[in-house]
Amino acid sequence: MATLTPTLTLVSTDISTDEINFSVTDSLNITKNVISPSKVKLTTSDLEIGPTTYGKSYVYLKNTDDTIAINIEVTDGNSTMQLAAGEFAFFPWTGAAGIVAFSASGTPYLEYAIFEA
Amino acid sequence: MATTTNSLTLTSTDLFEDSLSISNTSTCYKAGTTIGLDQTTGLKKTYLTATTQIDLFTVMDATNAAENGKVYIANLSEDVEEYITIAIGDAVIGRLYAGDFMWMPYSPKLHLSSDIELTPSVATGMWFEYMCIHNFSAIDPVAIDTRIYADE
Repeated sequence: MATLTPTLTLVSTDISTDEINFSVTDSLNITKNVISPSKVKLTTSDLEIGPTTYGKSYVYLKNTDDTIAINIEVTDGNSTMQLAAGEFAFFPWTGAAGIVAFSASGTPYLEYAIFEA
Repeated sequence: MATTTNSLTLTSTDLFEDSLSISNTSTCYKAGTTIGLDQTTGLKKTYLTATTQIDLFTVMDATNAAENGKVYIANLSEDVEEYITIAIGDAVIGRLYAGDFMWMPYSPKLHLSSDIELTPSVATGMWFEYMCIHNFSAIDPVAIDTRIYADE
């Protein structure tokens, strides 16, 4: 068993009078499969990055492109999120349905990792 | 224009032979621009006492199509058996177990009539918290469940 420690920090001094200075961390037990940090070139066609053989997992995604957005679907055909240039995400995944990625245009690169609990 | 910085790190010393250290920082921008998102829900803490599915925000429509946000959700339960099921566009993406959190962009133009949906696993009471950095023209919690706000 291994431990994955995710930490999220949000900071803003001017979005409201009450400044945001927020940080949260977690300790996740990773006991099964791992897709280590990987990088793939996408096209406008579907690419499955999350195999349906995985169970309860945690997913990290980052759009490394400077301009092109990347679409993510958890369950093919179901629009889950759009990663704008430079955006990243971290979320739980049931593993029951595959994760599909494709570009809004062109060939941006997606960085991703999946950790099965 | 506001500047909100979000940072995510993932670390592990025992997952691989090499230690894992992923670190990312970016600014929360309005879609397709370098103009900072200028609204926030603030950090909201909510107590759910039913296993009824709720929408995190009011359902967006076509007028929100050009808007975007970034969403943080955490399960504050300390019972490892308790979880919140997260669905987007009516499709379940995963479960947040006790202490778990998620961070993701949210784009109404992808969802329109769909939304971010939460379903607690128990009706005995679960705390969760969330925050959205956004530029939505209207965004409010939906009072369709038995949620009780912490300051009430």
